[in-house]
Amino acid sequence: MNPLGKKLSIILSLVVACCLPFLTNNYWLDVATLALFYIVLAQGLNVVVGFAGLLDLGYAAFFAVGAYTTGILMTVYQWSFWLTLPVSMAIAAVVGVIIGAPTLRLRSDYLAIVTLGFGEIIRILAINLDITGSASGIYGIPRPSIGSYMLAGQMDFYYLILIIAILAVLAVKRLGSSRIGRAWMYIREDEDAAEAMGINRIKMKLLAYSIGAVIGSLGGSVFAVKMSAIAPLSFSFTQSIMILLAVVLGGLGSIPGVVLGAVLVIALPELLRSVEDWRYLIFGVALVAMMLFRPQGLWPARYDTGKDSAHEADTLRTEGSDRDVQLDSEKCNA
Amino acid sequence: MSTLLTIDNVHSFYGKIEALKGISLEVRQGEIVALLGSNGAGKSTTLKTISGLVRPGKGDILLNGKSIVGLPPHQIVEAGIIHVPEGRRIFAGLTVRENLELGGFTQKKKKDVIAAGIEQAFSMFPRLKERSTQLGGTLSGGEQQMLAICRGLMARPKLLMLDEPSMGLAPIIVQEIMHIIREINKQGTTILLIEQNAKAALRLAHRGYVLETGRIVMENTAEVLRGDQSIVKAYLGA
Ligand SMILES: Nc1ncnc2c1ncn2[C@@H]1O[C@H](COP(=O)(O)OP(=O)(O)O)[C@@H](O)[C@H]1O
Ligand SMILES: [Mg+2]
Repeated sequence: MNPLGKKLSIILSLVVACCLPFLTNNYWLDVATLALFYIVLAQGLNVVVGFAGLLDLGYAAFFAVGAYTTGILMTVYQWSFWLTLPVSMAIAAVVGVIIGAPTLRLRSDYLAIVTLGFGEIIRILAINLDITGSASGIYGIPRPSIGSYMLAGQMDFYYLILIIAILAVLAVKRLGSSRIGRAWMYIREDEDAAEAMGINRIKMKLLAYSIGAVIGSLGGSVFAVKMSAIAPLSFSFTQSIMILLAVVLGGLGSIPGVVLGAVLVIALPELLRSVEDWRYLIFGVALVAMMLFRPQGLWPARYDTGKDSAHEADTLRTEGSDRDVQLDSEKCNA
Repeated sequence: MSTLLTIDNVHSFYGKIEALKGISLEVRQGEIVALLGSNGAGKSTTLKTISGLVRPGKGDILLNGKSIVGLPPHQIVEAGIIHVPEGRRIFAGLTVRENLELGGFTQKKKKDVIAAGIEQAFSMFPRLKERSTQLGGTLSGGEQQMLAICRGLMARPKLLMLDEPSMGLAPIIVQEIMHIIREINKQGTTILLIEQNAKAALRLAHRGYVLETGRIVMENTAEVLRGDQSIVKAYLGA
């Protein structure tokens, strides 16, 4: 897409996002709010999986860390919502380092297993601890206020999470094009070569994992005050998978792709509501078809080393002159 | 000439396989040293061990007299050793310029150092300059190799290790690459060069080592090795 078209589509989607509360009913506004949550979460996971190439199957755990931190601080200690944000982000970062430090040295399939286990541990802890309200969770989380204005209506929360989503997108975009973002990409594409270029692999992975954790916890904190009640059910393995799905569906490492993926993951099942029992089946079939025919995602990142570039490399290798040389050097070595 | 790199009785393993069975060699300041040997002799493993990608099970590696064994690869890069791996390993999805910027990663935020390095690369290889916004994957094999070498130089290494830079290239391109390696050396970078193409390597190098199944079986000046009948037979394809 050309730069002008890109700018126009960004402006257009922002205008639509801002006007949406006036264009739809409560039901769809709720769906849109959920989609915005998913944009935040999916962008956070995009840093981990898309940028750094670390498969995280327990990302909802950080969502839970944020939600429960805010929930507990507000109900038990009567903190202001805004003050809970830095605390929940800090806790998420620390938890990220604790889980990441020993596991990020491992190969990525081990990481997937460890993160999956970690996700379950957090959920089971939430079910069993008193401070998290056991299985029934935490309820009566107060509404946040800005000055004397209390955010209470559906529309207030829509705009709150819209702002957070925009901030998350901007932050992740900036990160992606920074020196650190480059380092992640190098590690993802060719770990050994990146290391041979002087990149501290473990430090960079840990950084990606922690930043993802921080963004996830931010989403969780806002989720807690929006719902005013949280329960372990919201932080299940399925939740982790759906967030991952948004990232993969949209395009690993692609900012607009992941936004699109998050919206689709939430909107499609709703759109298919008319076919009731069949909707998840149709959704599933559509996903499988997508993975078969467009594995790089709907809106792939520029730095994609999928089929196309591999194909280019192949044609290069079989170029006439190179082939001659190979024979030549084989003769030499014989 | 003072010694830049010393490898002392190094053993390296892949699991239980002993790929290096006690290797000792040295590279002096300002030299080009060729490491020769047939496929599977352990040449690449030697470079990987030096650059920290493989940790030796036994033995010591000294850079300017200081041991670098056990350091993580990024610290070895910072200490001044760059490894341009076999098969070039440039990033196909990044532009030529971005690939070069990657090479300057350890220069942190020193933008001027990186810019100077890129300028230097472009003056050495004008063809890279013409293609600076082209994706690495669209370059020809020779251009990719030049890019890989330049990317390595971006970190301003004391020692540049090249693993089979001529692999799969047309003879005329090989000549060009060899010429460039000599130029880089003249400008003050010490070079450890792996080659299957022993003839080309020995024309360039000051000294050479011959590796066979994880052991060094011969070492001498390039001149002597060039005249050695057994080498000629085994590796020069004559
Ligand atoms: N990653 C690896 N895992 C197991 N064995 C390896 C690996 N890399 C190389 N080897 C083995 O180590 C020996 C030396 O390999 P290498 O250093 O690549 O040789 P060269 O570069 O001289 O062709 C060979 O026997 C090879 O099969
Ligand atoms: Mg090799």
